[in-house]
Amino acid sequence: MPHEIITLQLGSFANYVGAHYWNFQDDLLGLQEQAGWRGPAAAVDSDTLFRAGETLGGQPTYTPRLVLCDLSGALGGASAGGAFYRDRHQPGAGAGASVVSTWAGAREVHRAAPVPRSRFAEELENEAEEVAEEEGEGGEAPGSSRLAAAAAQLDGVGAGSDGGGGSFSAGVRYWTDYLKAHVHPRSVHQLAGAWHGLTPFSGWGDGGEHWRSEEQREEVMERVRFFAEECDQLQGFQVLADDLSGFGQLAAHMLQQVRDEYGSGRPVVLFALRPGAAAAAAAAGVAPAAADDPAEQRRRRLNEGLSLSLLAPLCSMFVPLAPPAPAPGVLPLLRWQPGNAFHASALCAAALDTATLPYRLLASGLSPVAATGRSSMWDLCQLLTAQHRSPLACLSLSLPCPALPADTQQAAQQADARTQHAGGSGGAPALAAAGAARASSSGGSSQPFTTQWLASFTCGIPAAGGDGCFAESIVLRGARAAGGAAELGAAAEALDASLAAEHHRCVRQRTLAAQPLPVPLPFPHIWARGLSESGDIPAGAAGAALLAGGGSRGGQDIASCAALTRLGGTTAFGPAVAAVQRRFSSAAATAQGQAALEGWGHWREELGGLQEWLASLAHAYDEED
Amino acid sequence: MASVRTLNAKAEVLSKGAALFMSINAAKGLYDVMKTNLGPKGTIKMLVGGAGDIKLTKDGNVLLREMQITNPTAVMIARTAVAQDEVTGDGTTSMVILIGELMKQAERYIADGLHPRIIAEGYEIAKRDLLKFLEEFKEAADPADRETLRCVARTALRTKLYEKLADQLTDIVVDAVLTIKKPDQPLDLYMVEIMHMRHKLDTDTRLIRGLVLDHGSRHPDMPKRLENCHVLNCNISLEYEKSEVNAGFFYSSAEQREKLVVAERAVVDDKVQRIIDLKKKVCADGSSFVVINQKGIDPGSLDLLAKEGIMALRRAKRRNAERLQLACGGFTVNSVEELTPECLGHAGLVYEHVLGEDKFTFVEDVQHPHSCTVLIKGPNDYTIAQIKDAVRDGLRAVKNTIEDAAVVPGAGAFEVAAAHHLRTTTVKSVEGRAKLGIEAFAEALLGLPKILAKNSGYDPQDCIIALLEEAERGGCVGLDVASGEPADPHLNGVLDNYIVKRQILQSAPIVASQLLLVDEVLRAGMNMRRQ
Repeated sequence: MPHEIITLQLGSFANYVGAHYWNFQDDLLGLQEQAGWRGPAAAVDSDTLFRAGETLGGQPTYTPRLVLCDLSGALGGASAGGAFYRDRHQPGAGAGASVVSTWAGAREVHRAAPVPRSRFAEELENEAEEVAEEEGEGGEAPGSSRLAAAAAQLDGVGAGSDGGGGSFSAGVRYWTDYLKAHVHPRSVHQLAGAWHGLTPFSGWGDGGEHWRSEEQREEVMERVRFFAEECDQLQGFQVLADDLSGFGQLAAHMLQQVRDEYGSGRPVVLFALRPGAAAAAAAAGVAPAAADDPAEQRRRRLNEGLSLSLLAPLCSMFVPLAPPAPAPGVLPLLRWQPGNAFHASALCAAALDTATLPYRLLASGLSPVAATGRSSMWDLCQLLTAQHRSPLACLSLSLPCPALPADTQQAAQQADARTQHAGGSGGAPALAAAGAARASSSGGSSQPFTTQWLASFTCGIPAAGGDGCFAESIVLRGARAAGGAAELGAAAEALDASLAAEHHRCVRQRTLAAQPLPVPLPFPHIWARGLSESGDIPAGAAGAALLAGGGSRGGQDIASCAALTRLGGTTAFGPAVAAVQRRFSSAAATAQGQAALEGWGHWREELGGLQEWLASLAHAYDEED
Repeated sequence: MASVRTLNAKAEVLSKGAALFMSINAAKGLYDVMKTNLGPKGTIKMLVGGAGDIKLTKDGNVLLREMQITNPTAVMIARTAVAQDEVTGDGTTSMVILIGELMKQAERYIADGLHPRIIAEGYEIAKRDLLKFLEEFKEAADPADRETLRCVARTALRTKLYEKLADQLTDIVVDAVLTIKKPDQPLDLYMVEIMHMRHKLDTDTRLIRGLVLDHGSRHPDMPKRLENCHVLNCNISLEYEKSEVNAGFFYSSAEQREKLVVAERAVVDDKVQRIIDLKKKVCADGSSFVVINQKGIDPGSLDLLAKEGIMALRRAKRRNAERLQLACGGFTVNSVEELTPECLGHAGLVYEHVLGEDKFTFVEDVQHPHSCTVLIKGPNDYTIAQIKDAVRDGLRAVKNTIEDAAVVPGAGAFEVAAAHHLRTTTVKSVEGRAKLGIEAFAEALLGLPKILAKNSGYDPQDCIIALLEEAERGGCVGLDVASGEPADPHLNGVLDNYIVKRQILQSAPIVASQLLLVDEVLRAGMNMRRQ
């Protein structure tokens, strides 16, 4: 029986990330269907995230257990009612008189300029219809090549040069432009009266207006309840939120209620999305403010402080997440533009999809395909946050993950006896306390593959949490070795050996899955040209050139690739939180800062308490001895 | 202006004339959009979104929410109007129109060289005097008189929905409010649940004396229909869940873990058993048992309950627990220790209705309901949404009447009488140019009946002259929208809420004065003309 999870997405960028995330899930569903219960995809339990339902017409549906919040109009050309549950008999907008059945008098029609859907969304619907018509004819659907072409358009490929600023993707204007998965109409909540691209929503308090009346609160919470009522064993909530905006406050209000209603035994894992100013503005459909604008900076500092002191305490785990800035050695095989919301969100979603695998796997024994290291959301939170009583965790991603070293054997020997119990236990969640290999293998020249191409997604925290890391959940999926998929057992060994070679000791839980990260069609074309279909780099000089950053534009010849994430608790958060507190204090001390805070409903008396909380959070990491 | 420039080089400044011009234009813009809305003969607006989604509305409040307003003046007016809706539930359109009229009239005088401050002064005097006049003009109403309540509700609803449906809903909302009304207690409209089903026609909308919940039992063997039911309304978790108490509890072997699971399961089973025991005790006479729980019930517990023929609903919303208590009697139980036969409520009939993947549970046939449900039906979402808004407004109108214990004759009667009062009485009490402001206010007030006449297809000037002549003669006259002739609104039963009128009189002149007195608009960093 699945242990259900409800996903909440709050904010424009959160929905950008969410759309990619559901595309991954959708691809996974496709793979499960193709390969059946023997395929590596079968190890993932989709019922955790999805619900089965049926339309009024009796059509079965399978949609995410999801509540998403965005500004009005952020759906672009997609109907909020979704394609599945649309009333087939509903007359079109042009039908005129017959549409109005509640008024006998005159009628005035106000028509907003139609927002065209992306070609990808159009083709997707065409294909679905064609498949429905030609049921049973077999063979490849004729639309698939058109679909691929439309997907390429999303990233502006073939649209010529990509301008100077490049803050907007040539093709993507709304996250619905590339969303493949169908969403239940109850999932979509648009904030009435706040308009995408018009209403300013970048201040913490901008969300307050949408949580004032009982109707507003009920409208959101009823959506959550709709999905929760169906769950037999609700495991917890995963939340994607643009916490440094009005959605942060909304999230805090919502999570407070979620806590009250669904009990503290249900963890809430929140991914606080903090893309750069350019990507955030692109997602929200507004022009980015200048980075050195003092008002903008002040707002960000206030937002940061408030999010950490008001939102984080409501979460079992709070993971700040931002796509890294391109730099030599950071995800060397990807060519992304950090200011492009479509790209930035895709990276975040790839990290998310991999890091959330532990609690989405089928219970061991139910699946013939071994995937080890399943863990409940609750256990995961306990592992990472219990030690220092702080919900903060950091996330790092390696994509594609480097191939396992050829001399696994040798590496394993190097790490020798200290890791013996880690490799053995197989099915059960193995807490692998990697040996302190400080003295033994200091001579090794190359980095262990677990840190080699690793990029930190948590701003201000080194990759894998740095030296202060005290607990970690590592996920390795679809590991490659010598041009082929690695055996799960071999991957486990190599992983243990590599971790041992890292000279760092902490509590670790590792999760291995044979299923690589599928690359959906509408994934941005950010892969270095020359990668194989499975994400391997070519041997020799060509590979080295790629790693050095050769070929500025990305492509997409790749169907899937290995990925590795490390989600960890680290004492590096101590100074980081202290810095947030300092910045918050200085911003709040200015007259404008104080005015802004009061406008958001946080009066001066409250601030002392908030700062105290931040200080105690920073001190939570102090060594006790 | 120069000083602003020194402070912020990028600041955009509109000075005097331009600022006033912008304010007046924005007010007129909103006015133009909203004016066709007014009254029972206004036009309904069909809004087609960028994605082709349809919204239907005749409600000013909804319309304002759907407009993408960025102009700062328009935003200010819209906020006032929305506040009007929050306070009184109606009158949004009238508010926008009155502000627009006040600005329009002011513009005429300002063009003649009058200073805006003089007009604002006149508005202020007129406002104070009119509030007094309203106290005299209002008519006491007996909150227990069903006919008065119906008149007010019908007046409100007929401006939102076609006559037949409006009349049907009139009875529904009046009955709903009378059901939840308890002597000497404030009315809580939340005790009326508004539930909707996309099903059948709008005229199938009805009032259910009882409760409709939007979920059903989650076990295939549970009964779908029960009669003569004991209803247990509880807030007890009946699912196996990790409690925070054993955070940090680590088991060292698989058996230990097993044991822990079994022990926790036993705790849940014990709770279920206590409910079953109670059921056996009270249902010995052949009655049946329904559990409506705010917390979860897991499959194991559902199984146990189903075996006993109990219908169980989980995750009821908190509001519904309150409503259930008022509808069926009994009270909410928070722990199994409190379970007694006294805490149970009663319902004659509980049944489930399935519509696609949506389930509804009807708790009906209750003896002394103090809570009820308006079940809205309609063929599509936008029709349902429109009826829902109308029902809310109707409920508010009835509630206002009961609380005010007063009504105001509608159909423009108050505006005509008020204008007459300003011109004959108020104007004499002031000296000098402020008289002009009072005259402007009187003219602005007449804008409402003019629009009413125009929307109904009559010549506004003819109608206004006829109305004013009648008002000269004394007596209360409004416009009969069916004939275009002056008529006593009492005859047609057109009655408005006192609080709505008062709120409009209080806010509209303030906003208008504030806007008139704005002589500089600046916005840092952004180019205003671009918008």
